[in-house]
Amino acid sequence: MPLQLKVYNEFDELLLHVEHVQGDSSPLRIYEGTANLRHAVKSLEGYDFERSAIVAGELRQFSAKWDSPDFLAALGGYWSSNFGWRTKLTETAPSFTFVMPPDIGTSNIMLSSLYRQNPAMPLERLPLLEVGRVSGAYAEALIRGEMAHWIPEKIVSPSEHFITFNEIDVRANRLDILSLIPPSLCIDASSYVTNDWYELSSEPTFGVCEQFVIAEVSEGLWAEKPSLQRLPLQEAVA
Amino acid sequence: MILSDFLAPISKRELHEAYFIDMSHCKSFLRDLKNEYTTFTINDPERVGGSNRVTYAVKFYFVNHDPVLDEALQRWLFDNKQCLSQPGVRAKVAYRLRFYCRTPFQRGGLATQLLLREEGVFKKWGAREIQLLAMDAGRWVWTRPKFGYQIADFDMHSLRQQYLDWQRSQKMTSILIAASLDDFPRAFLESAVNSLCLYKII
Repeated sequence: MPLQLKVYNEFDELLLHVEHVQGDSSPLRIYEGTANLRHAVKSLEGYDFERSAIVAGELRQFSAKWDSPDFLAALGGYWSSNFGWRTKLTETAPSFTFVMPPDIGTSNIMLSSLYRQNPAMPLERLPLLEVGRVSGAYAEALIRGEMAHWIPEKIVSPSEHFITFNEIDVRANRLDILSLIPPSLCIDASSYVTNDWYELSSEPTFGVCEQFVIAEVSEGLWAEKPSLQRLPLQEAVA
Repeated sequence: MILSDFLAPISKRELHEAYFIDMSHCKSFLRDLKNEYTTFTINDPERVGGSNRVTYAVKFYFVNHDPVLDEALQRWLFDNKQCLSQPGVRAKVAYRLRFYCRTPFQRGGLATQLLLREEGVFKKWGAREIQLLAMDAGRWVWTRPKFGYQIADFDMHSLRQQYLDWQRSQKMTSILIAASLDDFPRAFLESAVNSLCLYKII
């Protein structure tokens, strides 16, 4: 069972959200994180974790093999003991397949209803995420970058935006859909091989399901592409 | 594994002798330190993770039997520990734990001499690096460039994150980024970090 670790600082802000999937050649996937902690985790890639820290005056060792399910526990234990960061380790379902309910209509829905079917989805994103129902042609144009103005203005955190849509042209299978994502939005499309959330070599990140794509767009991308406009989802769909 | 095999090519006696202090290089308040009273306690190898580990402790005394240290100096030796300089490499590693000199006897030249002698014997044993767990005042002291310690990327990035948050909690108006280990201020290291893992290649 994959394990997820969330790390919070003294302000209760999320510093890192990372998943460890045993059996993968590269078992760590970073969903969210500060630049510092992303770099910290990347520096561990492929290596066993061995650190010591003083806990209540006693020396404690935190060690785990790189590909072991104990890896995140050791990492979180060390951070928690040494820096006082709050850590939360949870088991998650290995993957999910989302099937859009047939009666969804054209209205936007809160993603909280989707979460019940997609427990792997990071929970703190849900309240502000929206799903817009768009036609296949519209979605295809969107992911080609031709209708880049269709972007919801909902902001999940000051540095992130999310695009969600469904009904990608059904003539394409998943990988075909991915091939349509323009390089400006997808830095490493080869990472998309199954229908789960993925960590890319750098932001933005995308999660892919059977019938829709969720894209997370960084503030940096907005800065790079000033031509992108932030329009309300409802207006864009209409 | 028996102790003599673990310590080869050095002997237990050679390791012990690294802690014989030449008082002529110490300040006057340490001149009464008596090497004959120094206790050296070493344990047989034990299995820890993928390595054998030997632990030992040293205590120094004056001629009147007063202790020089607040508590025993503690060292570990590993014959197959992960190197912090190259995490993909496992090798012989000497691990420095506690070294607390009593306040009146600090800055008397004991540490300078002792650390140098230790490094010589660690090197002769075959240690690839010395690792250090810096605690208490050592969290700042051991980051000073004169001691030659470095910090692994993982620890540096983690420390940088904590430093950013610490500056916010201190309501500092301009936020600084630490470029190197000795950029972290003493107040930060001694209040926002429990301990520091450092290393030195020898």
